[in-house]
Amino acid sequence: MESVAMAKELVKEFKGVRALDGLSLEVPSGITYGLLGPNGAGKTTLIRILVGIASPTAGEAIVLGRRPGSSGNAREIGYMTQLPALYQDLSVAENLEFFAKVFGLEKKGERKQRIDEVLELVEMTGKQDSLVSSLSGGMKQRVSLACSLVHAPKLIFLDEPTVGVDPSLRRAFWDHFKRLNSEGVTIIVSSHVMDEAERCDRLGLLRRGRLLIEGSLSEILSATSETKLEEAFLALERDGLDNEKAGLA
Amino acid sequence: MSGTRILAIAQRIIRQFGHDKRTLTLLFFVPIVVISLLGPLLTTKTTFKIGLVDEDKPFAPPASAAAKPAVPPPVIPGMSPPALGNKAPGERPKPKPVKVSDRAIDALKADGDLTVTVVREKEIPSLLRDGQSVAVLKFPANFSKELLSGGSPKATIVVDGSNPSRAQGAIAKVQKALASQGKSDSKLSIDVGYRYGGDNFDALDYFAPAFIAFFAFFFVFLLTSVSFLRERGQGTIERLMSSPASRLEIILGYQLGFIVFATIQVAIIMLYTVYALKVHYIGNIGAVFLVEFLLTLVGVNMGIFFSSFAANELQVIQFIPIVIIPQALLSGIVMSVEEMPKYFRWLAEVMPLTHANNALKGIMIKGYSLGEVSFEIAFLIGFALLMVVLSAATIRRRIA
Ligand SMILES: Nc1ncnc2c1ncn2[C@@H]1O[C@H](COP(=O)(O)OP(=O)(O)OP(=O)(O)O)[C@@H](O)[C@H]1O
Ligand SMILES: [Mg+2]
Repeated sequence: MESVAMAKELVKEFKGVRALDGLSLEVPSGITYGLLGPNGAGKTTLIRILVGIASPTAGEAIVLGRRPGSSGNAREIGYMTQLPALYQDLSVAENLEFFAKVFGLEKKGERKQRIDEVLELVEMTGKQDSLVSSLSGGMKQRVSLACSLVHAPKLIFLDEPTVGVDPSLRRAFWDHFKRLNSEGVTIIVSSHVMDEAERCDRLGLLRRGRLLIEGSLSEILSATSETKLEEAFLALERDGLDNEKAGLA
Repeated sequence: MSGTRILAIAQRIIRQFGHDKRTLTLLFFVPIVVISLLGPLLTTKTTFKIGLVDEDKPFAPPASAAAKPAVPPPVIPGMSPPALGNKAPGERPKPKPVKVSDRAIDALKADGDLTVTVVREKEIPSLLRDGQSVAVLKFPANFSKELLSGGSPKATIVVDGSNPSRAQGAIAKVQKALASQGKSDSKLSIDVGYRYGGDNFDALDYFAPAFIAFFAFFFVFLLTSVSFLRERGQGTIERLMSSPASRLEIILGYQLGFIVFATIQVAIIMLYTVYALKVHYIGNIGAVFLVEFLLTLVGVNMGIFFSSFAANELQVIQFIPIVIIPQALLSGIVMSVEEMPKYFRWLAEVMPLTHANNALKGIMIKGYSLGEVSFEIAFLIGFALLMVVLSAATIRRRIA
C-alpha cells in the first residue's frame, strides 16, 4: 500500500498548549481519509503541518514523498482552510482566476476551462461576477472549495469543507470526492459530521493531539463493539478519560 | 521565481483597488486637494495691518541752526535725516517747517505689504485685541522738533505678541520700510544672485518635491499594511503560503502592484503642480520616478513588516503617529534637516523619507543628476533591502 502522507511522532507546541502530542499516521493513496475529533483536538494543526505552512516542534512528516512545504508539493496539493480564505473585495471569478494562476495554471484556455468546471461543481456559475463579500456564508464555503480544487491537485486537504452547505449540495460534494478518488486523488478531510465520516474510506479519531484509533468504519466499530460511529467515539473518549484518571492515580 | 505568479499578485492588488473607487480617489486626488490648499498658504506674501498714531507736529528749525551743517543722528536705523536746505550763508531765508513723521508714513504706505490705518492713541488696545492691527507705530509729539534740534526722539511700536512669528514679521517689515525711505541717499546697493532657485521661486517650489515623496510613502505604507492585514485576517495568506508562490514572489508582487499606483499618483501630482500651480522643476523626470520607485519599495515592505504587529485596522491607524508623523515632521518637509537640533538630525538621518526628500529636492530644484544624489539613492536601496528581509521574515507571523 503506497502512502501519500505519513506523520511520525508529530509534536506541535504553542505557548503552553500541546496541540499535537506525538501523533503518527499514514494515509494510503486514492482514498478519502477522515480526521475526526472534538474542538481543539489538533485536526487543523495536523493539516497545516502536512500542507507545509506550519512546522512541527518535533517529529517528521513525509507528504507525496517529500518534506511538507517543499516546492514540488505546492502545485500538487489543494488546501481548503477552515474559514473561507477568499478575497472579499474580488469577485468569485477573480478569486478563482488568481488562485489558478498562483497554483500554476499558466495557460489561459486551460485556466478558463478549469474555472468553469469548478464553478459548475459548486453550483456558482451564475454568481461568478458577484463580489465575495456579498455572498452568503455557505456560498463562500463553496467558492473556497472551488479555489482549492481549481488547479486539479493530487492531494486535497479539506478542513471542515461542508460547514454551512445545504444537504443536497453536501451530497453532491461527497459524490465528487468519490469521483476524484476513483481518478486517483487522495482527500484528507476533517469533519464533525458523523454521517459524512461514515463515507470516508478510513478514519482517524483524534483527541488532545493524539490518535485514539484509526481504521475503516467497520474496523473501528468492531474494535469498540459499538454499532454507530458516534457511540464508538464517545466510548473511546470515556476510555481515554478513564485511562488518564488511572494514570493520575 | 515565476513571473506569472508575481504578475498575478500584482494584478490582483490592482483589481482589488479597482473595486474600491473611494480608495482610488483618495490615492489620486487627495494629494491634489492638499497641495492646492497648502499652495496659497505657503506662497501668499505675508501682509500686515499696521495702526499708526501720529502726534508729531511740523517744526521749523531756527535759521541759525539751518546754517549749520550738523546732521542730527537718525532715530530709526536706515532712515536718513531730512534735508535741511543748504542755501548760501548770508541769504538768511525763513526756513520751512518740516514734519519728519509724514515722510516715514509715506514710506510705510508705499510698501505694498503694509496696510496703514491712522488711529488715535486710545484705540491701540482694542485694535490689537480685535486683531485689526498686528502692530501700532507711534510718533510722539515734538518728534520732528527733537530730531531737528539734534536730539534722538524715539518712535515706539506696540505689537500683538500672541503670535510671535507674525509679530517679528511685522517689526521687520516696518523697519525695512522705514529704512528704504532713506535709500535714495544711500550709496549702498546689493546685487542679488541665486545659486539655486531664483527670485521667481517661492515656498511651494521648495515644498512640492517633499509632498510627492510624502504622499507616495504615506499611502503606499498605509494601504499595504491594511491589505496585508486583511490577507492574514481572511486567511488568504494561508492559501498563498500553501501555493507554489514563495515569500519573495509575494513581496515582489505586492511591490509591483503598488508601484503602478504610486507612479500614477506621482504623475498626477507632477502634472498638476507643473501645469496648474506653475511649480518650477528643472530636474530629470526619470530620476524623480526612480526615487519614487525606491520609496515605494520601502513603503510596501515597511507596510508588510508593520502589519504583522497589528491585530486589526484600528491598530494600523496607530502606525500613523508612530511611523508617518515623525517622518512628516523630521524629514525636511516642515524644517530643513540642517537647521534641526543635533539629536533630531540623527533621527532624521535614519528616516527613508528624509533621504527621498533630499534626493528629490536635489533633482527637482537644483537639477542634480543621479550621481550627485547617489548617497541618498544608496540609502534608499539599502533601507528597502533591509525592509524586504524584515517583511519576508515576518510574513508567516500569526500562521505557524
Ligand atoms: N496559532 C495558535 N496559537 C496558539 N495555540 C493554537 C494555535 N493554533 C492552535 N492552537 C491550539 O492548539 C490546539 C489544537 O487546535 P486545532 O485548531 O488544531 O484544533 P481543531 O481540532 O482543528 O479544532 P476545531 O474542531 O475547533 O477546528 C487548540 O488547543 C488550540 O487552542
Ligand atoms: Mg480546526
